[in-house]
Amino acid sequence: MNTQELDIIASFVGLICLWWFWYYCWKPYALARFRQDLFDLRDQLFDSVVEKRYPFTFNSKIYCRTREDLNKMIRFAHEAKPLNVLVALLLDNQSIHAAVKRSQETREQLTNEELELLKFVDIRQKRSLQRYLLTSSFLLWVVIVLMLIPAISEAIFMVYLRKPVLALRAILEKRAISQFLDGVEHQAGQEYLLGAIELQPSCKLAVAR
Amino acid sequence: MADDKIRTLEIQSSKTVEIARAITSVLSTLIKYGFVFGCFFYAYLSIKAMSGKATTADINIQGSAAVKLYANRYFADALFFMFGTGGVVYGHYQRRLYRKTTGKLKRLEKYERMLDSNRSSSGLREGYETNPEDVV
Repeated sequence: MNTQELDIIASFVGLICLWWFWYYCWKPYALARFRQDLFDLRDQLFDSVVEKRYPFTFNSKIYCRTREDLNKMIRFAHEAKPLNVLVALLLDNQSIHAAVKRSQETREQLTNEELELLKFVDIRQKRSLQRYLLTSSFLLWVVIVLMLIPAISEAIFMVYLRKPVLALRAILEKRAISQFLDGVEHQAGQEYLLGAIELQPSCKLAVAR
Repeated sequence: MADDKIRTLEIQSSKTVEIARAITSVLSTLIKYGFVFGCFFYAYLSIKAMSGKATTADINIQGSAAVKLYANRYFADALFFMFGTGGVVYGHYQRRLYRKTTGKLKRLEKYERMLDSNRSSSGLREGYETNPEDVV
């Protein structure tokens, strides 16, 4: 067995190790941390009612509903994948948007305190979800990289190529202006020879000298 | 009438979500095991490209970019470097998560004390660390 065959085997083992690490170590960890963040949020909700930070009791509709939503999210956290959202939107964009719109309309009927509570939960939930997706979704990174490529190329252009491009543009502009001026002078000379225009007195003096 | 419309919308959106879940599940499984299959396949192609060329020197392997990458000396090194670094990072974050989880048990203490006023403590610091007073 030569060194190249050994390299092939090492590459194969390395890829399988990374695959195992991603699917059986990192992804379950990211999911556990996401769930832990949601548990924290649920505990904070509980404490806020105990400490009477909001005018709600454990029987209030808004408290029960928010806790129920958090429980559902904890239970189905493993389904939080960009691919899931993408497929759902591709399948039936209309009904998903209608459901989101209806949820927004329901929120408009809530009191200020209820909205404040929901805002607090929403911000924390959104942050946890973003962190989970960024640390566990390969697809999302592919999309981010694809989106970043134009921005990075523009930044590189601004840093390294801006000066040469500006210099080139200046040269071209100068050439264009001088060509334009050449054209004007040529036309003026032609018109003078044809007698269409007369020279200014100062010009006549200069010609005489 | 409006309720019927809302109900229909709800059924429609949950149906879409369920179909999306099924499709995503199939796609995720395909990606997961497709990667393993791809690894096997390219390893096979790389070995096949080398077959019958017994030499101690490096040969210019003919094949696709993936086949050439497999036989590249530094590719395997990079993979094992990523695996090792990833393992260290994973261990660090797992430890933090463990601390956070055990730290959460402390919040139960006050509710347990309400029921059992004589509740005793293990004396560990933060619920998981050895108490410095206990170290000789």
